[in-house]
Amino acid sequence: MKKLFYSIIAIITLTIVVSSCDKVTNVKDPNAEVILGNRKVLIEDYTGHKCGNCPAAADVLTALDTSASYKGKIIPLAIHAGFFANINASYPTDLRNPIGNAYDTQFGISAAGNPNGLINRGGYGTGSFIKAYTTWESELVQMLSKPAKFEIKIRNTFNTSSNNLNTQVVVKSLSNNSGNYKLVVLLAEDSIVAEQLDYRLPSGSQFITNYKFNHVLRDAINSTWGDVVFASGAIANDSIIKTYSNYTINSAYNANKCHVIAYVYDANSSSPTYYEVLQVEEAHVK
Amino acid sequence: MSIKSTTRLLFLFSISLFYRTSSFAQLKDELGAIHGNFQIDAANYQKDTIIGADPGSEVFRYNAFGNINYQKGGFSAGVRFESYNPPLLGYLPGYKGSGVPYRFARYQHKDIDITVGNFYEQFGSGITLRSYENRGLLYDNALDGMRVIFTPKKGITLKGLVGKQRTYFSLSPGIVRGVDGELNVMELFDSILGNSKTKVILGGSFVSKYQEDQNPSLVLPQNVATGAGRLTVIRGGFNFNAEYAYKANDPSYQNKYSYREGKAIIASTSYGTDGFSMMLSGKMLDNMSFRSDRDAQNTIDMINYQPDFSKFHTYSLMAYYPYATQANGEVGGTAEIQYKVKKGTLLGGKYGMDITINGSAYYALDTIGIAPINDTLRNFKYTTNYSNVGNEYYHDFNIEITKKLSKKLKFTVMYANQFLNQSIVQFNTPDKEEHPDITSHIGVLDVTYRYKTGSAIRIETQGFFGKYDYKEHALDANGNKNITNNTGSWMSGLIEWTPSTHWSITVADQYNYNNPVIAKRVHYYYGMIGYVNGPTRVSVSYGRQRQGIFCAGGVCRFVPASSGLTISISSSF
Repeated sequence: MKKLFYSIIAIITLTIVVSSCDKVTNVKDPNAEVILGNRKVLIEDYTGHKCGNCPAAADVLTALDTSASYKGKIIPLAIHAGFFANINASYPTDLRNPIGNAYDTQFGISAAGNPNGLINRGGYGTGSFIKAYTTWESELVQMLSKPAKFEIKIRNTFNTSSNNLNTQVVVKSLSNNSGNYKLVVLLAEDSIVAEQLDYRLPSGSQFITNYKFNHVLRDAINSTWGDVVFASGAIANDSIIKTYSNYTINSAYNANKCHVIAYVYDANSSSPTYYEVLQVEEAHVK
Repeated sequence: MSIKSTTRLLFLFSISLFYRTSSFAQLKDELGAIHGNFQIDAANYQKDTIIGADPGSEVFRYNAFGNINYQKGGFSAGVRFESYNPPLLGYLPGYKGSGVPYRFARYQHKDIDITVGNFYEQFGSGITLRSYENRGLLYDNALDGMRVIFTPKKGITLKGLVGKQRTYFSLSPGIVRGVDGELNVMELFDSILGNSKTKVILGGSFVSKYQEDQNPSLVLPQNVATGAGRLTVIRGGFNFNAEYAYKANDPSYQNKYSYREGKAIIASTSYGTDGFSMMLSGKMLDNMSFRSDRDAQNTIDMINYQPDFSKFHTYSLMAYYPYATQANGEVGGTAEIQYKVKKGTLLGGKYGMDITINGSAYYALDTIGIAPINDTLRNFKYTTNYSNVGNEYYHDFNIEITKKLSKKLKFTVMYANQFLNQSIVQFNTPDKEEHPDITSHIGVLDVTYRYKTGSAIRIETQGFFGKYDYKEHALDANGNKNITNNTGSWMSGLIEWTPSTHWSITVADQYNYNNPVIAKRVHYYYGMIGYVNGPTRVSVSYGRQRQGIFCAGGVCRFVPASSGLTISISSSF
């Protein structure tokens, strides 16, 4: 009996020892290939100007957004919220807003640490909901490979003299979908120049006064959690048009650099994909 | 399920319960033992702008758990229910929710010990594997899988395990597999060596994790292994432990995707005799962070434990700037001498006197970066010069004297000199402007007066005198210096009255008397009433808690200031 035990343990041990270590001799994957569907992916970067590790995450987002593999497939959104986004004398530019604060609180991001992100808000309620920026690309690829359930089209008309924006969003169901879906329409701004801490720089020069912030969430054109588009499911090719008239863009924002981001998400709290962004689109204000 | 079938199930269930209850008396002796413990910590927070406490809309928070374990002979089984809706401020918000994250069944018979479900385990010092829980930190990396412990002969212990680690209320994406063998040389050869006074124990462990490579551009090792060998020698009051560990390429969020190998040497020795003991511990850790999810942050999914030998202080101002093992590497050590001055001597007096002298010093590794252009194939990022050390991270030299003056009066006096390289240790940056080095002198006087049996008054005073090596920033709108990480010096006082063995009443205050921002020179008052009756403890407290930053692996978590009412209840059976 004991001999049998010995043998079993010896075999298990040997199997583990032999199979359990991969030595990598070249870190670059020669077969890197990405299969894309018709879905676009919202990548949210929860950040703050006093977060010295955050510019590294912002650079990853820019690299993904501009890479040939994913061009046009990613909608980035930078949300400044939490402790590292607080303002003081050295960091006076306030990039926070109630919408971003509400997302940050609901999803518990700054409480878990910055930088961190969400990929289409997939996996809400699980331990892997919040994504480290080192995983954004692999999470993105998985999300992109899923078929799109909806299609979104945005049409903006902007009145330069009044700073008023009219946005029309058309949401079309691409398949038969049961459930409850909501549409959120946001305003984001690019090329905001302000202060940022960057730990990658040498000591003494880590405080940057002219850092360029892109994709900064500014406001919600409808509301934080949006409007119902399909309350009890939709069949394929069902469409709904939502029009948001006379939204005044804050004169402090540069309308030339502003864009509208619209996303449809699963608003059924008992769904396994609750909060997941099912489609997202963006369009420049002008 | 229809209402009808649910009703039927409930009916059957209650019948079976009734049946069990009625036959309980006869089965009592064969039933085995049931034990359990419960704890609930709940807080109702309030907004307190002066200390920056803003709990948001979820003002009521709690951490609660209950263990129920059953044992009969060699069989045991248990479950733990946990609930955090949401967790108390300062704990990882991922724990929000309720569930049964821990359940197990175990059977021990002669030379075999099998566990299925959840279990905790440690190999050697823990440098290859340590699965444990710390409820105070809400740290729990329990394994969920199976474990076999086999003792074929006295003096030989073999362990094998496979499982996934707990991640909040779900499991880590990686699989952990490990084996460990320990050989107690003297026990094994007892018949040959006779009853030797010297004990020698040899051990070896091997742990491997598997996690799928989903990275589209990098080739990641899906199987990462670590192995270690260890030696323990015990003779009389003398004890020596040493362990060496090696880890294969393991790119992770923690080490910024370096494919470099990891190495660790840990050694400690101690000697104890009547009235005297000494301890010396040293370690060198280089890239030994080992997690079952390569992208995990904070304190999630750690497979191993990188030991921390620095003194764990119980006085609050002594622990104001604590040290934590640097996950990416460090070198250093701790020494401690305890001496009991004998009764009847000049210093010892009638009751003797205890003296503890403790010192720790930890340094960065002396690393040399590799230029990316020369590092395209393996992504090593740096090499280490083991013949030297880098910048100082931390030191703590302290002396503690405890003396009983009479049957009623006892005091403890303590002094510490501490240094913290805050920018690296807590913020992972060389930027000293934002995060200055802190050197501090800390003093404590703690007096206990037992005015009758079971009744005492304890008075504690502490002072923290900090020097912040600061380059100042601009003034803010109120003309104050913008110094978030410089809180100046602190004083604290505490009175604890224990009128009987059941009750205790505590009032305390920490005063930030010379914060550079005058408006922040505030009192952090605190009051508590506690009641103990057998295994049951209940306490109600009210007060302020100051803010802090908790960092692990380059990600910093802000532990917010809080203010409010806290209730704790615990019991066991």
